[in-house]
Amino acid sequence: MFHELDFLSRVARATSRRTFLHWSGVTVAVAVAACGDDDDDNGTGPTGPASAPDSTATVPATVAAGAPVTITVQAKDADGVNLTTGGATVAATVTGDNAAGPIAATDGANGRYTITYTPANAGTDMVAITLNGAAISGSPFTVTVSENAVNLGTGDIGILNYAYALEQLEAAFYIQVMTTLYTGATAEETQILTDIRDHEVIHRDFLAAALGTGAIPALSVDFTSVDFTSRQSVLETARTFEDLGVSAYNGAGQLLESADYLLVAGKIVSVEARHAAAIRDLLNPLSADFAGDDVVDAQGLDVVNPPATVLIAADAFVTTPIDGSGLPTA
Amino acid sequence: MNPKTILGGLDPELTAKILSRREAVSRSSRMAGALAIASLPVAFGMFARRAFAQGTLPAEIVDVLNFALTLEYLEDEFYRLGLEADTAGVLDLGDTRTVFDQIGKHEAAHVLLLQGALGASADPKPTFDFTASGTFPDVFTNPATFITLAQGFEDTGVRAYKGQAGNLIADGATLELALRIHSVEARHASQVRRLAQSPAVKGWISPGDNPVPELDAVYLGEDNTTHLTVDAATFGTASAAAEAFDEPLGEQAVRDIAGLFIVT
Repeated sequence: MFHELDFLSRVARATSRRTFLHWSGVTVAVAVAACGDDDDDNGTGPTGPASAPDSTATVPATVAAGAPVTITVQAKDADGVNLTTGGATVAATVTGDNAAGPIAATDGANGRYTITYTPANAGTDMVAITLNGAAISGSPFTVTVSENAVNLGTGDIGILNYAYALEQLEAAFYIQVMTTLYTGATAEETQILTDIRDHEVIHRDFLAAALGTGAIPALSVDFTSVDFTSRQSVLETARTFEDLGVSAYNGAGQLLESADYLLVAGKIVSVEARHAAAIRDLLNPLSADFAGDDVVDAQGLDVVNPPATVLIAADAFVTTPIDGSGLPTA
Repeated sequence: MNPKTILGGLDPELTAKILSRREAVSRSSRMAGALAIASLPVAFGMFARRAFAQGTLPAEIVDVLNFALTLEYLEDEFYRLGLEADTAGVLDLGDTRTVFDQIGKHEAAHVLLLQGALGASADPKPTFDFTASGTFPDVFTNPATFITLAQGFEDTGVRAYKGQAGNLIADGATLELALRIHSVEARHASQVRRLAQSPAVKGWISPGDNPVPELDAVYLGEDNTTHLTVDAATFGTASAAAEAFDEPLGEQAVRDIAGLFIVT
């Protein structure tokens, strides 16, 4: 219950942060309010022609990947006075993780110009903005693109996406394990880790296919806490993932409405449990650890965790924010 | 063991979930939830009596639990006799003794758990013949035979629980108990299967590696790769796809397998 509250508040915080970021446009350079400029550089009388180094733009400092970024450019004259008519050529060129452009601005015919682009990738973009071919004040602007939170959804589809998220994590881990396998791995260890990688990739791709258009996108993972050159680090992380997977499927079963989905979850969880036992036996051969007292209680019952707890544990390895607030809880 | 004790050992999250399912915990406000947790022992005791008092389990749940109990009786007695034989020096389990001690401990716990849940509805323990009328005469003297049968029983157990999950879908608490036993059986199955191999590799059921023809029925259909109309072999080799999913077995097929070892 406490885990659940933690989780919900975390989701709430994440949600409010995103909302805030959407609204956190940074106004670069301060517009000098004036009217009746005659462009004699004294700030009075009629306005003069648009001056790029005096013109400003409002550029969001942080945006979510996949969401359109809207940039507003205010043309000003050499006195820094807002122009109220259009006609200038304004464009933006994006470099960095979402290179694009030049992107022509939409002329609002009121001295303001609007530029939009949609960054697909998380990272950092530099947005250079020109007015009549010259850089405006503050250009280039830096835009940090954060990953959009992935919402697992609701009901049975939400639970399947939850499973899919875990299988993505496991598959990515074992792919990395086998890509940079620690030295000294025995033939037995190599075969076991290869098999498990293949199983997790199949689980991942199977769930993606079963979910079809309802599937969440690919998640970004972060295994910097794992030392892939270390047998101990790799096997202990594998043990964590397998036990976590077992506990997750055990907890998810009763959240499913469909008996067909329940059966598929059952077909997968026992294989995860087989993996867990094998990994545990590699860590401590011929001991009781394959089904140790740390995971199987005195009544002979295996670990079980609700999604909220599992997602918090998985969060340490997944950089994409995951929103599980829509999942059933009973 | 009385029903209260059975569930008394469950972890707080599960008890909270059970209460939640029974709407004992109002989710309408945090305050209500906090109050419900504060009074958990009282509320939970009431729930346990109501749910598991004698004769209150739905007949279909009783059937599933008794079916499971039969398998647990079989496993429990099998390991008990094997461990006794090892202690007596007629079955040399060697360095695998610790593994079988752990498995035997779990099977005994499963019997107690299911007997407790069923109360007076629990079926009595059958009389077993682990030689299967002479098919496995050296079951308690030859470690290889003992391990082969252990693998068969564990894999059968995994398939049996999996096959019953759908029958428990309306009773979330019981379903969760069954799933938690199911994955323990799978851990056992992996370990025992690896004991039978040299080098010890696959803890998963790979097509065509049935230990003895007498146990073919245990693995019938395990090479299936299509689930929810999706062929998982699209995403890897047919062998890996078969390994990646364990298949269920229906009640009658399981009873036929267990029946080889049941006298009465």
